Amino acid sequence: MAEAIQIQKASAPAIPLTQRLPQTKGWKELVRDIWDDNPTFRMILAMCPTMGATNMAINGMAQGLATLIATVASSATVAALRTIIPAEVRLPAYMIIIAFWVTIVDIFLRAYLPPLSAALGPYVPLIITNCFVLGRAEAFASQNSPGLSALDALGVGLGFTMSLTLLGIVRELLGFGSLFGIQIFSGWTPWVIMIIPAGAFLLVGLYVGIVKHFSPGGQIGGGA
Amino acid sequence: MAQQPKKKKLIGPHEWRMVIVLTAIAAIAGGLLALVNEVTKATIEANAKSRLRSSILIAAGLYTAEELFPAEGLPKLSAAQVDQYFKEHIQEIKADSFTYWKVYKDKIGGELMAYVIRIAGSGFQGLVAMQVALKPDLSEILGAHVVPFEIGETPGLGFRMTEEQFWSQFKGMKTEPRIEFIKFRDPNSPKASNQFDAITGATYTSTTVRDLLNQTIAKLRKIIQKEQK
Repeated sequence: MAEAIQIQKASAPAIPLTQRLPQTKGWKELVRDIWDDNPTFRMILAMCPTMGATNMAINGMAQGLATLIATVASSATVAALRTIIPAEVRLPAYMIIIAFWVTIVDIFLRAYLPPLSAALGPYVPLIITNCFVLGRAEAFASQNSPGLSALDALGVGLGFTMSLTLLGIVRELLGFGSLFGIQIFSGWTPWVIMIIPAGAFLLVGLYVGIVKHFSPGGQIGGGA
Repeated sequence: MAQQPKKKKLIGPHEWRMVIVLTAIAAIAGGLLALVNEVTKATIEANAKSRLRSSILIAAGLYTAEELFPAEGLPKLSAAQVDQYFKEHIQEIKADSFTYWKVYKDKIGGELMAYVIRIAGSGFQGLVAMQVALKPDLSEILGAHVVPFEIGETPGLGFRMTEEQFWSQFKGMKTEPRIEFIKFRDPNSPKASNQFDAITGATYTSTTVRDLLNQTIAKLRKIIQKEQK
């Protein structure tokens, strides 16, 4: 048995990692959540932080990463406790778990990354009400193993981070003439509309259109 | 009543399980949060205190904003060094829910260099706050500084009060008879020494800064007059 595993391991490099990896279940979940079910541009979920926390690339990225950490931790916890939690009280139990992890992320940001925490303002605590965090817990983590649930959450989190960073990049370029805080255009007249949430509405619409154009399959739409 | 339904227990083992599991999850989560809060509390408070102290040093003209709040890299003074400087040169005074700072040239009790006040209040959508250093006779502003992280105003509009271009204009401003703001300040106008340039599109923020400045300086003046009597 051990020998067989040895042989398998030894022969594994023959198939390149790039070909083997796409066959795994975890990978498929990951890719589906990043692209096909992208929370922002596909499902149109979590619009509140999308509008509120993307006026600079770094803010969008930080908001996405904070959500990613909270989602992965919550999904893994929910999956680990899925057999213990009675079905009738699963939603309050999920909410407590999510609120717990989001508060942990918020406290750590305030303690160790105060400038970022101040820039994101109330949007970090608001991750608790972010619908796809509870959505992943209810739709996926409650029926799968902690490892797979964490991968699923990672995919959604990465998709969300990517979308928010893309929005942040365009809004910061047009609104401030800079990128990740580095001035790109000198003497740029800021587009105030890109700095305020209205600019995010326009951009999200544009991005949804672009994604739909290049990848027409799948459905668009979801919740608030 | 032909059929007496079998009396079902209101709380059976299944219901007990729900109560116990939910209570246990809440208790564990609450306990862990309390623990994390306890561990990080000191750091969070120290961060805020250190920012305020650095800002006071900048307002008093002892350091530049670039030195203590650099856009990249570490500040020139560590938190401990800022505290040390405070111990030697700056006295914090609390008088009826109002705090101000006395900045001394060489050592506490020596030659008084400046008074520093913190003006703070609610602006258009969040906190508006600024540290202001005044001459010992309170007639003139020596300098000002805004801690960017704590301002809650609209990005691109009121938030521009965190830019050096805004807060640096208070340097040399006369506090008597009162400070006003104007659009397109003319340096040659006789009133220019009492005026600062408002932020375009953020009249509310400018108004808040003006009112807080006048009120807080008046308050400090009263306290100092009382002290000297």
